[in-house]
Amino acid sequence: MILSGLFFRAIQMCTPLLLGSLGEVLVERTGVMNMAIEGIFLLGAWAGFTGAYLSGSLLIGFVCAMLTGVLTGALYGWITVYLKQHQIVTGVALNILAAGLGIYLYRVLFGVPLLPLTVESLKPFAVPVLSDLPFIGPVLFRQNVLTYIAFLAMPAGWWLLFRTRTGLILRSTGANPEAVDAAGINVERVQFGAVLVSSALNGLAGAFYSIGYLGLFSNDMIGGRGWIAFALCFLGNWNPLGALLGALIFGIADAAAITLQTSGFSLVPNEFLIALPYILTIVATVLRTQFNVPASLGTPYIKESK
Amino acid sequence: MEFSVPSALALRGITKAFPGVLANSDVTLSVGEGEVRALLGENGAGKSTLVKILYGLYQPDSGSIEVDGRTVSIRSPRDAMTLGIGMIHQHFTLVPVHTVWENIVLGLAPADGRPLSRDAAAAEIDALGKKYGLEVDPFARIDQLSVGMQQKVEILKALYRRARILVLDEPTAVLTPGEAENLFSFLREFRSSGNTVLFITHKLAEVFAVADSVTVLRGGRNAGDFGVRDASESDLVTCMVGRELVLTKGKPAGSTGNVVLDVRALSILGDRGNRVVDTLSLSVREGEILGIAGVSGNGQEELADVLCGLRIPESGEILLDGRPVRPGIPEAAFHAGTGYIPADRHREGLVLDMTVEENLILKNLSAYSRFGFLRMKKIRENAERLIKQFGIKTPSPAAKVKGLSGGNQQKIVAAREIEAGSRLLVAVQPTRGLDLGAADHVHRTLLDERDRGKAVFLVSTELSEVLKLSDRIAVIFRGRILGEFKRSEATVEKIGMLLAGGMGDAA
Repeated sequence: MILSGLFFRAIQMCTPLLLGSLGEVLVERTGVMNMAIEGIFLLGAWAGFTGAYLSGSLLIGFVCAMLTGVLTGALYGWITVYLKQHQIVTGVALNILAAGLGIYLYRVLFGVPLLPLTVESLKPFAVPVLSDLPFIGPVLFRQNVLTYIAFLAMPAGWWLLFRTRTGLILRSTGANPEAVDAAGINVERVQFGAVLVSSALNGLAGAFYSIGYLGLFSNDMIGGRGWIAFALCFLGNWNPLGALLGALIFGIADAAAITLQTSGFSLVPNEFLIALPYILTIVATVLRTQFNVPASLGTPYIKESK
Repeated sequence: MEFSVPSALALRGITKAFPGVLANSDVTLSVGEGEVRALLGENGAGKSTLVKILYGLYQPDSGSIEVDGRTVSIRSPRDAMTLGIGMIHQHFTLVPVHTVWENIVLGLAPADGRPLSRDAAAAEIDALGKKYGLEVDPFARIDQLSVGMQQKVEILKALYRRARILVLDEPTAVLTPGEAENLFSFLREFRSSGNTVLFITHKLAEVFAVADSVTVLRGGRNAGDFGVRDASESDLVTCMVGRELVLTKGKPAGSTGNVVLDVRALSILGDRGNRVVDTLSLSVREGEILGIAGVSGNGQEELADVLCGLRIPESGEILLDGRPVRPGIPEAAFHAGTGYIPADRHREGLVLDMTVEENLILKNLSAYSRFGFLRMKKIRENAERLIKQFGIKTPSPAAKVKGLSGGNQQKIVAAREIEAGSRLLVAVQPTRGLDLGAADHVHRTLLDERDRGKAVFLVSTELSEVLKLSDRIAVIFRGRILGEFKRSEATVEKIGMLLAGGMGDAA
């Protein structure tokens, strides 16, 4: 029972990591890092909560979160893809901005309520027949809709990247933008589009924390999980299926931290459990030695000119 | 002729200016169907700008382009492709980690998310390859192919897009003599089926080998159109350079002295951990140029790296004037009197964003600083002396190297390294990318240094360069010396055979 609870939660906690890392894989394959990921997670969480609270509809909340992601991504993409500014510097600036903006906008709208405002979060949906399977049923098939979508999105993302023309263009852009340019494709448009898509996914991922799971918003609810999704992209070797594997490991770590905390287990300090996913990120990052880094990653594409 | 038959491709009055440079000025030329037209000119004559305009990468300030007699507007490479123009860039535009077929179909058909048909693409590539003698395995990864094969992929890319007009920018710069001959026979084949070729080059021999007609560009202007049959080599050189140019003739060494460089049983591992130089021994004497002939990638670059301390050998010994040099330490090689003119001057030879005078002292900072402070006056004096001695054309010693021509950049490297290399000069592809005049200057410099008693170790993939300069020629193949010739014994035929690894141990 404890075990199935743990795995259920692990699968659940994977959801935003999957969405975020998939977006990051897609955009980094075009040579651009979406460094605003943590900030977009947070703004997505805020927009999702606000949309859902004000409209009473979770769907509207999720749509608001994705739109906010796209808007923030458009700003990031404009600065990095079109103005060719440094991606890390731009990303850091946007993340700091988002951290202040989240709490500011929350207070402007809602003041400082004595008790946190809540909405009813996403309900689980039991898949007929499958959810009755022993163990697997409760773990895999009584999740919420967003979780199902996130898990299906990973193989779909793999297929897009490695089996379609669009994917070939995405991969070529990161590996050699000149080749894409010479093929008559607008490199900037490809990169900007990928930034928007990844930002929409990040917004959705952020909203999972506020309205997909807890039903409230707090300014520290992302707590670096955007960065974990960011790290999963290269732990997964710029492959959605690799990111899926990594996300599962981190989902388990995240779930273990929460489960053990609430069960009053006290052999290891709570702080260690909370830190576990982050420690794992560092260890896994150091241990991986072979990477297929997109050759132009992080370098703005400037058309050759005299 | 031009009035009766509409030309396949015509440029009329093309002018293009960049800040400070008039790259093309009122250039007019036309190429007919079934014609190979060479576009000949020195570096900086405006050849590349002209073809980039043709391919939609630049927009001309004025002038027009006609394809099949109709005026067209080419705003992007996509427009050019639609018109049947295919371009083979000097630097390939391939994705190295992708396969041949992926590179060829990249960007074709709308990106509608439909799955790619790998087998259909591969079949068409095979068919095209057979038709034109450009067979390439569609499933091979680009980075596992030789440069010559990669160029075939570039050509197939254009043919796959139904190109009828092929524009090639210095296509033989990276090819072996054999590969270049294959390219030429493809171009003849391609032309004979009614297609059109515009072929950019600065090598005269290629004009006569493959072109029907030639347009010479000089200083951004059309300096003359010739039919190849009516033109002589000296006509073209004069037209290209704008004056008569007497090229330096190689001359044999006077007398050679003691052994300067002695390499004993040297083995070197390459970047991928494979052995690229295998128990190789050789020596160079005072007042002698040893030329290493070989197709690129047979270990000669790694060998030069080791001689200059840039790479640690697996085993073996290097002696300079009889004393062993500690391997893998550039400083040790420098202090023993080795100067190094690298193949890639932008990457290994110069800091482009630094000034001329700074670049001239890079190798020997300690002589130009005291207590960590640069001795500006001494640096300036050194620069002024070398600028004069080597005829470096620069607005001032404090000008950035970036703004100088390739020939002058190479003079800076040569000046510094000749100063550094008091005993041995290692020169790898010293004239790559240089125009006739500048290349000739480098050749003369190397011969002069030899005559002053230095030992010169010359690596070049251009056989003509090796034959012209060397006193002794060693042919390298897969990390071994297959044969060694005195200059008087060497012929293109003998060496050509060994270049491809044939006929084994003549040594």
